[in-house]
Amino acid sequence: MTPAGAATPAPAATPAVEVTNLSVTYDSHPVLLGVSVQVGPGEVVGVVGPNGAGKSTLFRALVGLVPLTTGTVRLLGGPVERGRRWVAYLPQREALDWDFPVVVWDAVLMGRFPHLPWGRRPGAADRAVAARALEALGIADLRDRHIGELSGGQQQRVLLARALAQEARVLLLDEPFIGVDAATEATILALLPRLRAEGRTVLVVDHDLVRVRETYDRVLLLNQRLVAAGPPAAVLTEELLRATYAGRLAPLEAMVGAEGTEGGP
Amino acid sequence: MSVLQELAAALGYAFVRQALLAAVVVGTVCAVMGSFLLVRRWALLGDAISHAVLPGVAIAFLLGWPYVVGALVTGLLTALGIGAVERHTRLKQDAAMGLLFITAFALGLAIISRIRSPVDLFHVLFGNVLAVSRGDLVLTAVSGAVVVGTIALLYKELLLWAFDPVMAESVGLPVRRLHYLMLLLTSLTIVAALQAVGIVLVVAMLIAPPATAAMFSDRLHRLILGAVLVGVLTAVTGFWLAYVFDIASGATMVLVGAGFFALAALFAPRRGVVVRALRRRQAAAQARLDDYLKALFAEEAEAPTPVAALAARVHDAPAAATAVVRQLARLGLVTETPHGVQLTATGRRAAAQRVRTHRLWERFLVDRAGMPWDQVHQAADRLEHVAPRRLTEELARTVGPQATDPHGAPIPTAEGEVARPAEEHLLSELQPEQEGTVTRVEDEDPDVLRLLEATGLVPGRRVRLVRPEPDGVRVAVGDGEIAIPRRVARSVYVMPGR
Repeated sequence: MTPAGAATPAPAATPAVEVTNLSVTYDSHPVLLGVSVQVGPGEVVGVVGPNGAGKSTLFRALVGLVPLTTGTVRLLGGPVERGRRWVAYLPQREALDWDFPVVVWDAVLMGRFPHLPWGRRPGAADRAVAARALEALGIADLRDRHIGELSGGQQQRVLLARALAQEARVLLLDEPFIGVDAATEATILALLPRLRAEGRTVLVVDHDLVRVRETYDRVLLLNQRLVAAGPPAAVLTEELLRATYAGRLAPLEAMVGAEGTEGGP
Repeated sequence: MSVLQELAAALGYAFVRQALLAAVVVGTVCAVMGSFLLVRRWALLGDAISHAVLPGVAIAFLLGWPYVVGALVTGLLTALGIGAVERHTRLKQDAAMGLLFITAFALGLAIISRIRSPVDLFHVLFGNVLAVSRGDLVLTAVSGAVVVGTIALLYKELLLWAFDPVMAESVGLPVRRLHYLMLLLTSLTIVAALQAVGIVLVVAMLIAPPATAAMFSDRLHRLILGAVLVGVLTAVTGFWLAYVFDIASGATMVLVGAGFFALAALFAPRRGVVVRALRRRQAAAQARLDDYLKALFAEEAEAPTPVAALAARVHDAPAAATAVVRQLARLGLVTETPHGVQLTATGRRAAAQRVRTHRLWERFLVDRAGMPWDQVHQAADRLEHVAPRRLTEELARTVGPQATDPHGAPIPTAEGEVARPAEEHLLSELQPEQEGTVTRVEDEDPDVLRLLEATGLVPGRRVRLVRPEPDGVRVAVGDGEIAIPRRVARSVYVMPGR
């Protein structure tokens, strides 16, 4: 994959995602507090933090699914309303009704819907884009299968294929590696450099610190506040991880211990 | 006069033709709308709205308005009310709906009973398709056309809204407005169906045909087309039953609809209860045959295996074993002799295949999945029966060239050949000071396997019998000596020699 030390592309003139002083509150419980971050085109960014740190909320705020208490979000240099159809938000797999009567092809073709005017059906060009997306994820042979018959990894690939069909310029992947097989993990990991090369922006919630270290250009450590942001080697230090996982150290120590963090005690 | 002639004669009456047409329209509209209610899991909402239509009909009559208007207004108010109750109280949605629609329904009953209206309460509640007037038919057709037309026009948006509301909202579809549009269309559908099936029973017409079609369809548009087919068939059959036997038409339609659903739920080719049960039974029977083949194969006997011994090996009752053996014999896989059972050449090849699959799974589970070797036998037993047969050779490629399973037993080749070790003794039968190499161990008992692993008595290790002891043997493995219980020593096979 990517060498961890590879030069991180500096956020370009117009960041793909631009969050300024973002706070989100659910039922008067703060979930995100004063988060500011910019992510440029072609950046593949890992989002790391404990459960309840607001990682999913950050993604939901980026596509306008939750009201912002303070702050602003800009997508592709414009307001959310203008940029959101170029953003693919992939929630955790369980969020979808997999019994719904659609086959793989139908689900992937839905990626084209945001670009079609009301009442217009997908045309030949849309079907070609969707077909390429199926190929890219290696699920062309599952085209006519009902989505409920697929394995967890195959379902994840369907969602990614849908994001490719959407030609999304920003992809928000919420724990895409949970409950998938090794082949799917490899497919997703192989897809990331391709997306980077195409200038797309990818944010991935990921709990596996080893993979985080090897995979992402930049890492956001999040726990309500943005604890740190930077290249993995600079950010994945024991000190910063402790600050991120404050009060939830037991699982962290196991992780840190297992892989031997640089900058350890 | 035969029933057919009676029906043909009935078609001569204008009111019958009108009623039939109304039934067809109602069947279609309910099926289309109901498909969305079904997949969006809104069935209860449809029920709530339909009940809440009653006070609207009553009030409209009081004010001298067309009852459609009243029905629509209350239907919508209920839909909005449910949302409000849900947002502002701690009641769950089903409780909120239940409370609201029964209250509205009671209000409607109160009004109608007080004003002694010409509105026939029975017809509003339970429908009478035979009483459909020309005006009613026009109303039904127009509301139906609006519902079906809107859904056809916005099919793409509604599909996304129904399947993945989160994506719909995140890419900027106005999901709230779509939500209320669908509530409006649901109210309109109920109005269209009011005369034919009545407000109490309409939910059955909304849900039964789509639920029936769902047993057969993997895609929403097919589900809708199937639901329309079933819905029209239901409405028309219900109509004729109502006409011929003089029964309330709403009741006959619902009963027919439920009947179709029951048939589909039982006999649908992939999802039907009967087919699934048959398939399970078939799989269980096949698994049993496989187990017998493997057991016979493991006996490796030139002589026939007595049925009782075979039964003991597969943990089956002797009587049951006799039946299975008879079946295997019919399939030409074994021959029965007075002394027992023996594999035929075909049977031996089939058995070798099953054993190959089992041992490859064990290999895979240990080498690739990292499972401890004491657990893989049971896991492989399940996997070999549920995994498709063609996976076997895929597995063989994945685990690479392997002569034996993790317990040392040889893996038969794809052609059914199996290498037999030249000479094998049970560890318990070695002579004192005799040495040898562990070739394989029995794989069924996890306790024994854990013990063997702990003592190092695994395939490939050198072992020397020190001396027999009262309840077992003392052996030298590696640098140490250890006492092994007899039961465990009888699970280890050794090839003697230096």
